[in-house]
Amino acid sequence: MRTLLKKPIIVLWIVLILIALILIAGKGLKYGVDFSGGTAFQIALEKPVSSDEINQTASVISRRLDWSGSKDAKVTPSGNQYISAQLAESDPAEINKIKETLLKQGKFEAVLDGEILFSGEDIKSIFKDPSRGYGLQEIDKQNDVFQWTLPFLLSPEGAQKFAKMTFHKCIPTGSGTSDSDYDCSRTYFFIDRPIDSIIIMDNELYFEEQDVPIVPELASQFIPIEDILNQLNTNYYTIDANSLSNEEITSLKEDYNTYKKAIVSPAISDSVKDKLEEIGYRVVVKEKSDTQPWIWDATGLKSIVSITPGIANMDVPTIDSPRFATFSQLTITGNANGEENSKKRLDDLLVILESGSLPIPIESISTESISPYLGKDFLNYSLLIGIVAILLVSIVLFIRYRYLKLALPIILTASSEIIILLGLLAFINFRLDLAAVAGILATIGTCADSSIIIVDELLKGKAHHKEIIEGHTQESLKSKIKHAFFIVFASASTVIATMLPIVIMGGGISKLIGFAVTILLGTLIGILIARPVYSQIARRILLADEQHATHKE
Amino acid sequence: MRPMAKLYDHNKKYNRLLFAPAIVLVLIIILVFIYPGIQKGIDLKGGYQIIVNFDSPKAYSSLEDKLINQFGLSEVHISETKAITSYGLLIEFAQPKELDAAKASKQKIDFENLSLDSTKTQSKEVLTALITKKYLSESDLIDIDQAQSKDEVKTILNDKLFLASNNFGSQINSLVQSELSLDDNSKIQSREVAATLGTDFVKTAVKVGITAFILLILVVLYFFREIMPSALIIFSALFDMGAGLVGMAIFGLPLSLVTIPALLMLIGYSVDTDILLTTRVLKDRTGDPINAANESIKTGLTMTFATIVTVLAMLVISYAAQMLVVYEIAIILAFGLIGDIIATWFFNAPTLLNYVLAKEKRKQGTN
Repeated sequence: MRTLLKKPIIVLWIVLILIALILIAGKGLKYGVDFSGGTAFQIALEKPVSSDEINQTASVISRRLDWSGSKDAKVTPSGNQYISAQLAESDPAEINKIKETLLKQGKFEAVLDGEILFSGEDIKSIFKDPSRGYGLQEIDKQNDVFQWTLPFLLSPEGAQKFAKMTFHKCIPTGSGTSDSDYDCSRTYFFIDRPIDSIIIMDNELYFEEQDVPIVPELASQFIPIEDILNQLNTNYYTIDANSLSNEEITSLKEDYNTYKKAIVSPAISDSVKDKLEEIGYRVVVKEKSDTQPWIWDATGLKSIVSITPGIANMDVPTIDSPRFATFSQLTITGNANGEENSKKRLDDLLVILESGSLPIPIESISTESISPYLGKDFLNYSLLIGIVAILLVSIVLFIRYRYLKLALPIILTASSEIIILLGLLAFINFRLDLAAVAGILATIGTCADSSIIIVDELLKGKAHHKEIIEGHTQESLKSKIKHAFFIVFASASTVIATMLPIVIMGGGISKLIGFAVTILLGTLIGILIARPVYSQIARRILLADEQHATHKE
Repeated sequence: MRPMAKLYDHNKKYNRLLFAPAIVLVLIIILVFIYPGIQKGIDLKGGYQIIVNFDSPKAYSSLEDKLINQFGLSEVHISETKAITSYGLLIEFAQPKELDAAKASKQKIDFENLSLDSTKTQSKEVLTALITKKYLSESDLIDIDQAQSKDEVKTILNDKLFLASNNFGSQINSLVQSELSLDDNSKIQSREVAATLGTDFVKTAVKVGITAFILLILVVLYFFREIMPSALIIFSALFDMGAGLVGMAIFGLPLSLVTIPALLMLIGYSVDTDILLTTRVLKDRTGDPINAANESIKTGLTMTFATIVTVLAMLVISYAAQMLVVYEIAIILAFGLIGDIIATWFFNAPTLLNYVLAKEKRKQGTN
């Protein structure tokens, strides 16, 4: 045992097992929908695109899923034509709704004082070019503050409207020499502003959201909720969650002449909803998300951006003055802590201004849903298969060799191979699906195969007892091992030859790749670590036995 | 393994073994290509698949009837699976032909250079068929009328087709839910594969298969540097794949994104016994080749048994748990491994021995 520990490969093996165990316990394994339940979307684009475009498309899809209120959507581009997305949802009706949002483009509106300042059609282009200022800039190294800038161009008519509407929309608060001396109006960026619906929220929620943060994730600056509601030009009600007063009913009936839809908060009781439907409204319940106030979700509000004094022509006395400036190129800037946050804010705004339009149209969406109840079963059974397989292999080995000392290390190295493989999969954030697990299970078989080749080659050495007495034991065993490894390497190479093309050319078909990746990694771990380790152990055991035998003679 | 008589002898009686692979080869050809044959799965041709697990058997004739007659669906296939404590229904059907036809006409409209008005008329014609099937409503036509440009019409048409296929999906869902009385706790797996995605998958699978095979030939040639033994290994690998296909044919497993990689994997999984044999016979010059072959079979069969028990564990438990993916992979591996016993020891070994012995004879002749 002590001599074994001196071998670098054994030390490496033990270290790897420990690292793998730490990774599995600490980082944990990621499971695909097969095990976690939920739905996997395979989104095919109309044609293959560049890696930039596919990443951009993936980020738009991810934002759209966020907007539709899907929690924990994981969107990843795969290959150059596919995007896979994974959601925890598995209810078919919900999945159909999500598919619709994925296909539908939103309508962008920037609203000032309840009037449309500019909309998606007014934006002629968005400059994604750093030379025009687009991007991030570190402005405070010490506090890790980044400024993001998003320049875009309005159409001439759009620019004129913008200039007129924003004129003198700032109120001087100080000397009027710097931007901070003004208090300027805010513009509200909406996607699919519900202009055809009334908003109904319960008193409790209204009280909770009376003051709404301007940037939901920061919660540093607040505005009254009315500021947002006033941008809609529709009526809104704050009511008791369980009942409607007579006045409210009268007013609701009157509103029904103009608005046909009612967006209600989740706490509103069924009796109230029934009453609304009785009047004729189509009732839409908006769930509350964890990340932002309900009112943001209910109204489709995506961002609040302040006007700057320069844009508002504060230094010009009247609109007819020759100095009145019309800006067609506008920029939105802002600060955030940390590069990642700033990048996300910039990306979010970009997607909003583009109305969530996709650079490349979607050709088809394929889905695969598994109910969470079933997924859990699958995981337990996979584990059972693994344990039973290892047990059965042990029995076969024991029957064949009747020599526990040689068979046990096979089990040990096979198990260690699986552990290291799982650790590696945890490390690369690989998402395990059923096919991938089948690959891992199949690895147990290959591992046993190679170990058997090694044992048999080594045992052949036992027959030549003469050599041992003559002191050639070491060499003889070494050449046997070399022989065994030729076979092991050759067969591992055939596995690699057949699995590598799947991984490389699979074109991002995640289902195809899972199985191949686990087998490929399992094979590599096998020939690089588990097999050399086993041969060392087996050699030690045989040498010790033979020395023992020689002593006896 | 003492009781086993030596399979290979110096009298070349082992050539009789060659009958077995010949017969099996004929069987493979019949089962795989003639009857029952192998179908393309929905991964590759597009369509819908719903798998539901139950605690007790469920009647499904009414569901089947409605899918065929009410929805007019083609390729409706419902099968029942029974495991120890649970039952399952596997429901498969193709996209409704009206949707397929609509998609084809849409492509025609995209391609043709028509006036705005005739684009509108044609688009409405496309949608009318879907309205009759209630996948869309009359009001959907209004959007087309209101469109200002040809591009707009095309975009709307595209959206409507998506909407129609979504509506079809919802209708099917409610049908399945009511017919099989499912609820939130039901164990359901459902899949929908777009037909175009299926075509892409086929292309990818063919490319991958050809590349894998070329790489396999290169690898084997690199290790053995002799044409004949390498060819025998490659042939055995193909034979194993054939055996895997037989498993698919017998159990009615389709070609899919699960079974194709499993078939490729089978090559690596089963070919190691052939490599063992070839190495021992070719490189083990100390003993005679016949003896080397007899030694190899002991090791080889142990290997195959060890892998077969692993695969059996996968097969039995995945069947009981109705883990279709693992079950399909296990069937292919099991059949492949059994096929490999025949390929390696009844075909590769005798042929290789003949080759080696003939070579030795020639060498002695020239000396």
